[in-house]
Amino acid sequence: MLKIAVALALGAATLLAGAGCAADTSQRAGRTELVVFAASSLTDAFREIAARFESDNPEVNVVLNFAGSQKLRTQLEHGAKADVFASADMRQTDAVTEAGLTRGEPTVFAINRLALINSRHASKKIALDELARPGIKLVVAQPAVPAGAYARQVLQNLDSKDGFGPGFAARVLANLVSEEPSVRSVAQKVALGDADAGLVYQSDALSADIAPRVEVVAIPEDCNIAAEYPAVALADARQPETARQFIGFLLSPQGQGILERHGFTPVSDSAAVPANVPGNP
Amino acid sequence: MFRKVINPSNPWAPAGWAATVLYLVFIGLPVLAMLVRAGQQSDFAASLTSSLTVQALQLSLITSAVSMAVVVVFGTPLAYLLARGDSVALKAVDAVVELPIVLPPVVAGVAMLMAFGRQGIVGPALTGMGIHLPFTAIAVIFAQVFVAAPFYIRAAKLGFQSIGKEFEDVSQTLGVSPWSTFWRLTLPLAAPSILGGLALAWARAISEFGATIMFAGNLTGRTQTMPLAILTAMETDIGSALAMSALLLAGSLAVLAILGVLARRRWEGRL
Repeated sequence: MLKIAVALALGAATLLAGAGCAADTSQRAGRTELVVFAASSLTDAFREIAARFESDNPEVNVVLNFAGSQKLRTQLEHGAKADVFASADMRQTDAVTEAGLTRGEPTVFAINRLALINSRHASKKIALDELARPGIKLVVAQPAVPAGAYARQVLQNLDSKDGFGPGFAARVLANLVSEEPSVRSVAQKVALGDADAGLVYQSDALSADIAPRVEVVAIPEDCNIAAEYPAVALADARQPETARQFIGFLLSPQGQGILERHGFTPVSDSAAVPANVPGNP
Repeated sequence: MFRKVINPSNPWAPAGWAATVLYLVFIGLPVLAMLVRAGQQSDFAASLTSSLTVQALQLSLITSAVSMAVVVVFGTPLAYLLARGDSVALKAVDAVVELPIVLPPVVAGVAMLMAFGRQGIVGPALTGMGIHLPFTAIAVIFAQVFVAAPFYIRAAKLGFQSIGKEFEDVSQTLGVSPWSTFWRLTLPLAAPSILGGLALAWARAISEFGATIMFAGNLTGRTQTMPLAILTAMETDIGSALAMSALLLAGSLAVLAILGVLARRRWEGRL
């Protein structure tokens, strides 16, 4: 018994010492820490962007925190400390701005669109106009989730387009087998093959985990939605200057290139970018 | 009967009372706060009868009733075997049976998807037979049975164990067949334990969430049980979420009351 207690105490001491050392080295190296809160759909793209930003600015250590935009907003409203907030939804950014937590105007740095994904296991690819065929198992996110609302909007847009027939949206929604709590669980259910098809963001369809297991069917541009992703520096940022640089980097050709590779539509039109953002290409 | 067990001069008594008050506040306050908020909703009655609530309640009641039927039909002989057998194999079974009690339900959901999903281990065979489990009410029942069965089996086993085998032996030496001994002696004597286990298992089945959303999905009227409907309503309509929560709280209190009555009957049976 005593032996176990001693072993545990030694183990704990070693861990604590290790943690202490780690903290020491980062302090000694004098790296500034930039805390970025980002929507979970940005996970893959922002990991790559952070790595590139760090190699361009060796003195900066980017700390990423990913969650649903709504959750991040709640965390910020309850006093979480961060330098940059990159949301998948302007409403969350607006709410944080109204709470007086931001510094400067939000900048739209990327646009995400929806795509139809099919299970690789499906015997036959389901085209957009076949979604209303009885027996197809379709999953979308629940309407309160932005991706769920967008999915219904896309179906309405297709409904009013020639060639899809009257009542298309209603007939498609009759094939719904589940309203998932997040867009990522929609993608996962299709990737696992339990659902035949689902409506997700293009960035989800191209993510490393999902892409190999699904077939992507493009949605015509005139029927698709454009989900704007705004980034904003936060009022109590510890590194306000670095925060501005990071947002500038998102808009740089490098940043836009990385976002594009991960399925986002770049904001190439410079008119869409407010002029007061430093680092604006 | 137990009133004088703790002597007031016992040095632990003040600490015990302080802890008791703290605990009651700790669990009572959130429950009361929820009820107060639910009561403040002007459309409380409308929320209780909204189609979201009614469909979820119907689905929860039907699926949990079927689940309990399955649990009783298969769980009772299993519990009896566990209570009477003492082989090493049965001891191992005894340990495995209770796994779902300690397993996080969301893990149960992932596991069921890997087994019964369309690409799961037995999924393709099921598909070949035209059976598709995910996103159906049957998947809801699977999830409920998976997580709730051990509560029934454990209680029934303990109930059977408390009726010593000697009683059954005496009955059989008096010429009563083993079958009728079970029905006329063992089962009635073990009934309070069995019903208590059934109440607990039902409560667990009604509250099942993690495995259901993972394996059965979330669709109003098809697989959206009360807990899933509460989660969905929390995003859009807190009034409905509060009304449904109050309804489930009432159900939980009913289960506690049933358990209390059964526990008293069990004691009286002993004395």
